[in-house]
Amino acid sequence: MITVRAWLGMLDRLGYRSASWANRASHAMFFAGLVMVLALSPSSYSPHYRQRLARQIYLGTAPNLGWFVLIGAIVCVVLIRVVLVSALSYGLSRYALELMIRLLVLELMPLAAAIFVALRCTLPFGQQIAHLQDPDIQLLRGEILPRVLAGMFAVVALVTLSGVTALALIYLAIHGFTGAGVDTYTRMIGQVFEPSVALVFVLKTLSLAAVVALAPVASGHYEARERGARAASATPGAQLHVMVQLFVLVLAIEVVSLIANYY
Amino acid sequence: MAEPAAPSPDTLPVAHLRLKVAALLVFIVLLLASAAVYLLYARGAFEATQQLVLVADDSEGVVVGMDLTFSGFPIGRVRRIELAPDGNARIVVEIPRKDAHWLRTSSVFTLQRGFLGNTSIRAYSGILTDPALPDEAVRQVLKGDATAEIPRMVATVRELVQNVVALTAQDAALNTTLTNLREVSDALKGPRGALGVMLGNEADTRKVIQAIENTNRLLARVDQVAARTDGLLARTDALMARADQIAGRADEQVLGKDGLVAEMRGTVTQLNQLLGSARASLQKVDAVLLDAQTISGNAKAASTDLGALRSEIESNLRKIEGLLDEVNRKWPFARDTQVKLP
Repeated sequence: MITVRAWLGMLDRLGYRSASWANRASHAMFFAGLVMVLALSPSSYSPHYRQRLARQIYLGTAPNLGWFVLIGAIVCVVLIRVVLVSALSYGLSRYALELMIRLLVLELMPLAAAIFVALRCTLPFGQQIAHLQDPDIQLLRGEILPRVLAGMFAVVALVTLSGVTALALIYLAIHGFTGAGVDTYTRMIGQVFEPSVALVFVLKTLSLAAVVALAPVASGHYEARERGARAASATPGAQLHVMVQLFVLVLAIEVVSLIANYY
Repeated sequence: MAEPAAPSPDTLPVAHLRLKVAALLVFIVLLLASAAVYLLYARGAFEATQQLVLVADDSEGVVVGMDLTFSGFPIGRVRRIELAPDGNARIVVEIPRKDAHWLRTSSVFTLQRGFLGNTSIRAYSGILTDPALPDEAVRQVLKGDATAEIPRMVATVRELVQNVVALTAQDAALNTTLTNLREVSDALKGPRGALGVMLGNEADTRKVIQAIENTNRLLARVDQVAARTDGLLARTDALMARADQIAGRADEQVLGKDGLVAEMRGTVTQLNQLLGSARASLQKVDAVLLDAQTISGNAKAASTDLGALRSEIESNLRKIEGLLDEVNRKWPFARDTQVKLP
């Protein structure tokens, strides 16, 4: 039997969690605004900070580029084969090309790139930020901003490269090693990338990049600040929390883009 | 518990960092720029185009960006679909100038819908020597809706199935016919056979069989008559052979060396000789006639005097005759000249 005290306990926990969530969300918004201001500030690109930014961009993108393109190409080949054979068996081969471009280039590759960059780059960045002592504005400019910008650049770079790779693989799967189908293929790509679809694709990629780069770092910054205030260790379950948060945000962006594209 | 050291950019030195980052940035920026330019090219942003407006009463299935095809090749794209003040749909198609020569003033445009709902706009140019289609030309599009045929086809198929069901029903005409056919086949296999099936009873069958036997006998007699006719013909042949012999002989007697014709030829020769003689005689007669003519001329002169003489003699003779008639009347023993019949 649930007693009044139990009800009060549940309400207390709910209130605490809601307040915590609201606190984190407001901090994330504030942090995003702060980083944007810093990113648009010319003083953030002085030679000293530029060196750090270049290092983070290189470390965040270069080691992941090859692996991601390789894994993405393998997944693309498998999916292209599945879609092509299925479309042929149903007599719908004329729709297979458009379906593959939409499936791989517009939907799967940006999502995969964002998740890959999050797992390989920005989540470790967030952990690193969470261990900073007293993150002031200099630390924000010197340590956090380069990591956020590096994460965003990595997402954009991976999406671009994997998209081009997927387009090339689709062409090779359908036409083989010949240039005879380039005109038809180009025309089909032009049909798929309508202005609205291209705009949604660009906005989705930038949104994923921003979310993937900002959310873990913002969470790490929040953890560092909270720990500094309480003079205690990191909040338990913070890593899981930021992953769930990231997952929800990525899902929300994907849903919004799907609605914008297909409704 | 020892806290992990804060991350520092100097912990892991990277060789040629500036060069690598520059290369990475240039590569990604070039990739992005190339992708953007390629997409613009694929969208036809760099092509000079002309407009064609297709007017349709229904633009269902037409979407912006779909192709206008000619002989299976895309030569234009739908850029805009708008509703005209008269309620028709105006499909604005952009055609690259390099492909516009396929469209002529006599070109026909069709809007076709497939069974799967896929719509296509096609152009047909029958006479490629006609003037080129001008920019911003407005053409009516012809509709071909494959799905519109489905209800009619379904109705036809349903009617067909109903007919088949009616045909194959238990009490249908086809079933009755098949039953009758089975009875007929049973009757065919029976002792009376096909004749029994056709005539229906035993008596008629026997009559037909008897008629056939009679016909056979008649045929036998006809054979005999034919044999006799053959004999007759043989004799006729012999007769004809003899007639041929007679004709040969007649030919020989008539046309032979000593035949009738040769003799007639001799006779004709003699006749010609006789005619020659007669001609000579007639010439002599002509001479005699000439003489006679001369004599008659002389006689004519003499006859003028003879006329008076003759008339005098005639008058004397009449006198004598009258005298004799007077004597006869006066003569007592005059003869009775009348003939009396008994």
